[in-house]
Amino acid sequence: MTTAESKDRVRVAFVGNPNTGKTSIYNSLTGARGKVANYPGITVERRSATIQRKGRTYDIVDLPGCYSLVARSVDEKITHDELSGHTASRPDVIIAVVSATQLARQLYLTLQLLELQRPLIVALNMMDLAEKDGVEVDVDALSQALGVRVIPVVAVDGSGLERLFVAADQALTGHPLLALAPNDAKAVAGVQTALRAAAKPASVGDALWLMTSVDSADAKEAELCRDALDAAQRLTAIHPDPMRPSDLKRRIIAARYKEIDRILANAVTSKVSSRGPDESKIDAVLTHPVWGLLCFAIAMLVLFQAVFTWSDPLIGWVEAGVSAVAVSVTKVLPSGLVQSMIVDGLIPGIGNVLVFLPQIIILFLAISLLEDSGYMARVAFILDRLMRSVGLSGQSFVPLMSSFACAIPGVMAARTIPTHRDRMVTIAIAPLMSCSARLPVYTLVIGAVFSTSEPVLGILSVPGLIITGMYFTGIAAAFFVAKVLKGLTLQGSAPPLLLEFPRYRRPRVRDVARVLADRCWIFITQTGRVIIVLSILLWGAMTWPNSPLSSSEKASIEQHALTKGTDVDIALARAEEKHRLINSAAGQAGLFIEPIIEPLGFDWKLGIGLIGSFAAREVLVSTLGQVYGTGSSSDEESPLLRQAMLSDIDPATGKPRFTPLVGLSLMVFFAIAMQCLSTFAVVRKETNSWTWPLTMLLGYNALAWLASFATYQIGTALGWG
Amino acid sequence: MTLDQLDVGKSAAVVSIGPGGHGDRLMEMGLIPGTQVRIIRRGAWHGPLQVSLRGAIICIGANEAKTVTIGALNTHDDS
Repeated sequence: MTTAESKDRVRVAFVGNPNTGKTSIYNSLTGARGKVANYPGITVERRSATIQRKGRTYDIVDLPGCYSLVARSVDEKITHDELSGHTASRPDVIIAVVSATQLARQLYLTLQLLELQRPLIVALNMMDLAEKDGVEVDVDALSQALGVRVIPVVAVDGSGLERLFVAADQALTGHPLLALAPNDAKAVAGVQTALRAAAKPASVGDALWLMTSVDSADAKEAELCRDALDAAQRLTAIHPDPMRPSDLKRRIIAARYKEIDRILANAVTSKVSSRGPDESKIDAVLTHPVWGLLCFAIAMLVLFQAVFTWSDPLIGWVEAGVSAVAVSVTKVLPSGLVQSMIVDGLIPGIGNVLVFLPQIIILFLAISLLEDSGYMARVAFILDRLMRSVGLSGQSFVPLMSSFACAIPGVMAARTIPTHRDRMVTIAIAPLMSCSARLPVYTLVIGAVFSTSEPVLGILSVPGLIITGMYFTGIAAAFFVAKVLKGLTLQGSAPPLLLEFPRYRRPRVRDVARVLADRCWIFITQTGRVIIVLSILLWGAMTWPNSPLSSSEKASIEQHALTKGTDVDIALARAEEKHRLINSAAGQAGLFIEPIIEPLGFDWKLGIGLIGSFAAREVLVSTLGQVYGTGSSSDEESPLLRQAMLSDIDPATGKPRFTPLVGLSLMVFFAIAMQCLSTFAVVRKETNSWTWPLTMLLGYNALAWLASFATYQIGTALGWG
Repeated sequence: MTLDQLDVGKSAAVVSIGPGGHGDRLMEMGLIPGTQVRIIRRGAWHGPLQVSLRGAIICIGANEAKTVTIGALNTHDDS
């Protein structure tokens, strides 16, 4: 049966285990035409492309790599849903990608695909590697045994890809190769009948999927197949009790592997062990408890350096570019509301998005290289024990570590974590890793109130201790939150550590470039949207109503400046800024929240600062500059700003408002609070919900309030005030 | 004897796998009764095991390995 031949538009699905080079094949075939979209309601992305070939249109989708169609993880559920037509329409042809070096295991999924009784071809990848290993595959014998065409390909140099299309056009329908016991076969047939009656896909594979997914099928799915499920339960006496061993499931799994062994006995000969001695030697070092950890530490050092420091010049270019655009707009547009909105609101908003690209590119470049080379699996092996003891997975390490540079690429990197639960926890605690944007805040406070402190024990500098303390505060909060999350909301027992060590291979430039292009594009269009909107809203709140100084106020400032000998224009400009900010919505909000933040030791000026720093933490500095009247261009080292803060006297008590304890309280607040609208936006995108980011925003700010409160009150009680 | 008790470098055959969802996953990865396994390396402090199995290297957590009962190699089996 060659159903694909007659159609003009053919839907093709690529399915396979992870590490088969499936995505390389997909990239080679689709190139720049691939697009990425969201599956509704979940965080997995859908990669698809439409290409033309010899007058025919092919809609190709690259399904997530999975080991089985039984729905235990989101990836497996999606693959099954796409193949049975629950999401888009069913694919016309399935291309099962397997690696010639791993047939003994990878054919398992292929057998499941054959049971779906749809047109299928097998792309046998990595033939070059197999040859090197001394593994000989008799492609014809394999083809005969499987009952479908097998096309050898070598994805890395593109050979065989054209033949894939020809074969896909003439794909034969698969048939199940499973030898079932008579009782089981009867049960399966019964379920198929029930499915047919319910007008659902009723292949052997569909029946088996239902029968073996009973424990893990979600409620809605079960509802849709109620009749078939009942039939399955009646016939096989399966109870949906996850604790009881489900014999049928295991009988089927064993039967499939028996079939695989039988097929391979005829079709594959291997003369040597399938892994070269070189790879084993490399693994011996890279997974060694001491040397492996050392190599990893060095790799991480380089990665961190790259994301933290080497990105600086690139970020500088982006910022310069944005400024240049802003300047040219001021020349073109007449000054007024529209110009201000664009130059002070929209353009910085866009800049706020673009400025993250250098770090995103660098981080994902590093991650792609680590993953595609096969090293990441080794990392998971080394780190697993350590990370599990704190409730995280080995793959959480890189995203969390890069969050010390910036949480935005760190949260994005969490998508490499395979288990949903670990991914969510990692995303949730990433903002608590003290990011580099907090440093200007720490620098400002330490410079103002801690710079003259005596070294502790004569050698440990107070600033150093404090900064270290702030980092540990963030990490401690992260442990706490991870524990709470695991206990409370995220269901499911700890996922098992079960992963495959892929062969070491050289990453392909094209595949890495694809990842970078996808991530940047998605970031700009999806996360960027939210960042720009929030930036503009915040700018609006900090500007309107745009109340100017009265003429008498202006006169007195001019007078004051003249007597002190300072520049009149600068003094006027700063006073204008300050007046506008204090009378803006954000400014009034700062005054409004003063009673709430007073127990933390903060006054309304810091209140406005807190609101302004929602744009980005380091904006606290320029906001305080505005509020204290030293100008929004003040930076964290500015002596003027420090002086202004220190000489601010509380009229009620006559004492300085900004004491070391207040400074400490402020830093503790910043260490924990979620105060970055870009982080908010990226969490929203990566979790595909508003619940997570909103909960984090409220939760972390509440936690920060408590920590700050404790710091200030305890400190006051101890007399440190 | 269970898989986590097998010495590094030694081979054995899978006899059975304990009940529960994890066991199904282990089986789907290829740990079928009769399959030959060999321990390549062990992670430090009861860390995961690197197991050679059906021509692949699989990392199995120590807890998961406890559910796999193993026995002596049957000379007929050559998986």
